[in-house]
Amino acid sequence: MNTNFDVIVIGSGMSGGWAAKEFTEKGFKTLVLERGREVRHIKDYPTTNMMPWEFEHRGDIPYDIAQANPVVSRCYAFREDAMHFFVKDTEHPYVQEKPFDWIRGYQVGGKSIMWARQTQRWSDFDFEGPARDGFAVDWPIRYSDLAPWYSYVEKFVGVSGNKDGLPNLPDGEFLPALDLTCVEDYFKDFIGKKYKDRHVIYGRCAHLTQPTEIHLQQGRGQCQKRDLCQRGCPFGGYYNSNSTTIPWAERTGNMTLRPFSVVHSILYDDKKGQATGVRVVDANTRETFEYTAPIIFVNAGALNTNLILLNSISARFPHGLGNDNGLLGKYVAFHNYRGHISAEYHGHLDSTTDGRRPTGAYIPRFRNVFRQETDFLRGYAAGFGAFRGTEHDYRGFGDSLKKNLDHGSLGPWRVGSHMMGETIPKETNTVSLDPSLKDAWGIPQLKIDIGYDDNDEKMLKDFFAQLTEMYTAAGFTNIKTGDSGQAPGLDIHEMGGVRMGKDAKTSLLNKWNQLHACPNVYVTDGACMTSTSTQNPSLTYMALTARAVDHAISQAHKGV
Amino acid sequence: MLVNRRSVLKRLALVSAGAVLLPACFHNPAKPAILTRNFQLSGDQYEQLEELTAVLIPSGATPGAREVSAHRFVLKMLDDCFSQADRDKFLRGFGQLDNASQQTAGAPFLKADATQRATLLTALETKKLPDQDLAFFYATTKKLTIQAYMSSQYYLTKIQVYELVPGRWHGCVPVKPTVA
Repeated sequence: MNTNFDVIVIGSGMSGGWAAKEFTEKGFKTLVLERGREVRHIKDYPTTNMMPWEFEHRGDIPYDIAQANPVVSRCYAFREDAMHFFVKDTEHPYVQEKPFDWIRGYQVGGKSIMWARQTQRWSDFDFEGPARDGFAVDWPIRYSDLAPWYSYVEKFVGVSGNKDGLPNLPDGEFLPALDLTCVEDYFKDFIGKKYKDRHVIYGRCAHLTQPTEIHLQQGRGQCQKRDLCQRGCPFGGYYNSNSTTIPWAERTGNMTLRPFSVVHSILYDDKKGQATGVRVVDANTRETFEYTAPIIFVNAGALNTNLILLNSISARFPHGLGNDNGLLGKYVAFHNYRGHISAEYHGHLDSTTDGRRPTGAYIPRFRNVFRQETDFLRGYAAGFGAFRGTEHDYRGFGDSLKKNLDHGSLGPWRVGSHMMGETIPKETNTVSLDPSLKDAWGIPQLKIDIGYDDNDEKMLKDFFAQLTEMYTAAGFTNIKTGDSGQAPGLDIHEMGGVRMGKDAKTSLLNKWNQLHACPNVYVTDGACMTSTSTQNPSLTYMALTARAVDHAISQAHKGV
Repeated sequence: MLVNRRSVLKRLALVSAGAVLLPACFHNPAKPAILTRNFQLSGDQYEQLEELTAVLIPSGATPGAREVSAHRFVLKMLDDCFSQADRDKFLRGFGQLDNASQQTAGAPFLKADATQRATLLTALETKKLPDQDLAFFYATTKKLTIQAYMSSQYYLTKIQVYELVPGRWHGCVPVKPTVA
């Protein structure tokens, strides 16, 4: 088998799929390495058309599995219908210096199969955050660098949204939005009038509400509002790698996809002064292989990308590839999802909803956006939802109970929000290689040492206070706030460790996502993030990837 | 033909799995057996459970708990989704059922007539019986019976129709007047 390629892409998920698509489309022979199994669109979605009664535990996870896998069992989507897409704790152990719920999906498509599909753009209020507020390092790029790539990605992926005209959440290339519910609309109007700088919008999301020609070419169809996305969609109604970028790359004839390929390390040639390929352990046979290519894209998922670089040791880089400044694996951050709030609304009782909606309303960050106004840095975005459902009286037994079960009544509107808080990257929030523990493939286990700080606690309190104020003013009742107390990681928005920056002394990657010290290696997944802002990050990873591939190709054509 | 072959395979699987075969199928071979890995019911408990679910959600003009095999779902969940401690508690409570029936209605549960069973369940509903294990057994059985009924194919195709592919979403529509 050929072991030499034009490009090696490590990972086939959200960002790896994009690297594969971009390179193969431009004629580059591309090896895509995926540590997990193959998941073919539709064919490998075993539960996708199952009815509720066909699940023997009606969605619940058996006790033995939950006990043996406490981390992944805390994930909201780890349910009977999608559990086969999640990594079990027992299969891939890691070391927690502090509690960290590392949620992973090892398969072709990675976590893009089960993601929550929210796709908000960043603005300069996000990119300029570290410089303005004096944390981390300045981003080497601004919104204008990424804007055309956001558009490029959005058109291909298919993003549903409204043009809301908000400077802090730029508009994009949108397919039609789905309706907000009556009470979401009411809240949107109310908040828009009461506060000049707070908005409730329809969250932009990767659903084909009205497919265009490019989506039909991909073989995808209109979102059918099943709201069962985590199972994989037989219509291709939402974006994942499996339905879109991977088959697209495959059709060019330029992609070699190798599942069950655990990347051990990236090979560095001291004489050539560049990375030359990767060492791979076959997940099943444990055999070791080496593949070579002049360009390497690392898209293994934020923390695994850190792991691979840390494990890529050479005479030139004794502390990990590109790690001249000792900052590799440091300044890891995430999103604070601890806060939630719920309430009732007893207006609009003559109205309800019809059908299902796999998307939701969104409250962009309003704290400390245009100026610093609180005693904590940065802020939080929030989800928002208002629904009513049939409610039943479960008291009693016999004919009266049966009658109540057969005839429910429409309850009040139930409203709720959850916070998505920016966390400040800190040198003390780190991942590193455990000096002794190894995984089943002989690769050091990742040691994770990440915690909340005082800024996060203050922000949580502010979320409760501000949302309570907004809910109260809107006439919502029975308001309840809650701190889930969840560990970092369960947000599934871990980022950083290989941050971008202008200066090779204080960052790992340059403005094109190349390692400063080894520029033929690009990192374009969550590991590259200098700060986290509050937006769901996948769209930004995809845009950064497309932009970085464009750069790599232009360099290759120049013969660099 | 395929169906027959499948049921043969299933039966083979039952035999070879070597797990506990619930006694009910010996009492009444017409009743389908279920396998449990983590506990064994004793005596006529399988029948008791089926009858209890049928008191909770009776059959009649329309199917009830019995027709949706709610008791089998209760046992499945008890076997797979409960801790050993909760399973033990459930079974201890279950062991109290006949006593409680005798005490409140004057007859063991399977011998009790409809009125006597209603007397027992009224006592359980109103928490007149102090035994915590029994209360746990009853609350758990009731919760799972309701879940089995409301997530059954019958309920989700005839009562509150579940749509796998709604194909539509309307965020604000008038509430339809309920049909009495």
